[in-house]
Parts: sequence; C-alpha cells; structure tokens
Amino acid sequence: MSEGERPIKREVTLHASRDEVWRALTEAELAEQWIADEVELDLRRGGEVVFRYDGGEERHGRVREVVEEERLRIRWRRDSRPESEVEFVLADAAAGTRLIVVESVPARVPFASAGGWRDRLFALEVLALTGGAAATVRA
Amino acid sequence: MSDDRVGAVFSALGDPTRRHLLESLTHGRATISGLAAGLPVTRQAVSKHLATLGHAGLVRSERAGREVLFEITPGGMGEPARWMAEVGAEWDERLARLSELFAAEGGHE
Repeated sequence: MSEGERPIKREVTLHASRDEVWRALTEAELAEQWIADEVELDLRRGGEVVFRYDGGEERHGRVREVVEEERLRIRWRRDSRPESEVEFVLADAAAGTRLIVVESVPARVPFASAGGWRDRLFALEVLALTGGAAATVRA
Repeated sequence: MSDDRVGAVFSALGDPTRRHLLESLTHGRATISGLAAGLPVTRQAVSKHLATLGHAGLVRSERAGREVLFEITPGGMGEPARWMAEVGAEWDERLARLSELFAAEGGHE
C-alpha cells in the first residue's frame, strides 16, 4: 500500500488448510462460490481477472503479485469507480488458516502527495463525488 | 477539516456496527428502532453509536413529530464514508460466504 491509500481490512479464520484456502481464492469454480458469480483469473503477474455478478455488475483487473499459498494481490475496477487494490494474505492459525483481505483505494495525485490526512481525505471526498457518487448501493 | 475531526471520522469508521449503520443509512433516513431492528444490539447501543457518528459529522438527525430520523450528512465526509462502508460490507458478505463454504464442506472436498 502506498501513501494516500485508505485500506479497508477484514480477517477471517477458516477451518481449512492453506492449500484449501488458496484454491478457494484462485480456482474459478471455487471463487465463484463466494467472490463473484462468474470468475476468470489468469493466475500470474499481469494476468487478467474478471468478476461478474448476476445483477450485471462487472469488475475487471490485473494480477499484481502471486506468492503461492501466501499472497495474492490484484487491482480491479468497478464501473466508473476509481481502481482499487485488493490484497489477500494467508497465514497459519491455530485452528486452520487466517485469511486477511485489505482493499485499498488510491487517493489521486496531487492530493495524495500533498501529505497529511486532511489532503488524503479531501482526495477521497473528490473521488467519491466524481467516481463513486453515481454508483448504486447494493440492495 | 480539523485534525480532531479527522480523528473522529476514522475512529467512528473503525467499528463494524457503526459501518453497518452507515451502510443501512445509505438506503435512506431511519429511526433508531428501525436501525436496531436489523442488528443484534440494543436500541441504547445504536443510539450511542449514532451519537459517535454524529460527533464525527457523518450522520445528522432531525425531529419529525414524535420521531427522530437519522440520515447521512450530505457532502462533507458523508459520501466517502458511505462508499467505504459499502466496500467493507461487501467483504463482510463475501467472507461470510467463504466461511460457510468451508463449514459446509467440513474443510475437505
């Protein structure tokens, strides 16, 4: 995550092995059971990713980093919204595997480089008003 | 925006129940009872969370007869807050589905 990005983080412990969680994340057939209704994932750096939802929503992006059974980083974009980065990190947990998801939305330059939360927040506000405001809210 | 206000905004967004309340309010104005109905917490707890969100300038209230209606503050930090709440809510849903997936399969295939 670079300066000026605002992360949204979630964690879950799954009663499954690292291998099983990795497959649930990277094999389309399994990912289609939780991430999106239709998943295309070319699992290599620069590979294309497409997530489609039954409601018609589509997200397109690229793989940024793949570390087998450890880390997957993609950048995706929904409709006209700003592109965001999603990082999945797998870690061993006492009862299975911990999956940490961080979605970071970049604040635009020059606001992000101006430094300080005030500027970043302003950038987020601008982004939301220009890119996010028209987006529909999930029913 | 003052640094105090910025701190209040992020502190307010740091709690899952408050993010859920913001997400709920993206569907329109609501009363405390209405908001509490969809949550496993008391009206008192919802009231306290709304006060925190109000202090951060993210929601505002308006009296309508005997009821008090809450809504997301237009402009200001309201829009980014709504958008961030939405992204968070999406992951909550996806990870809940993933947990169910493994629970249903007993971790094996």
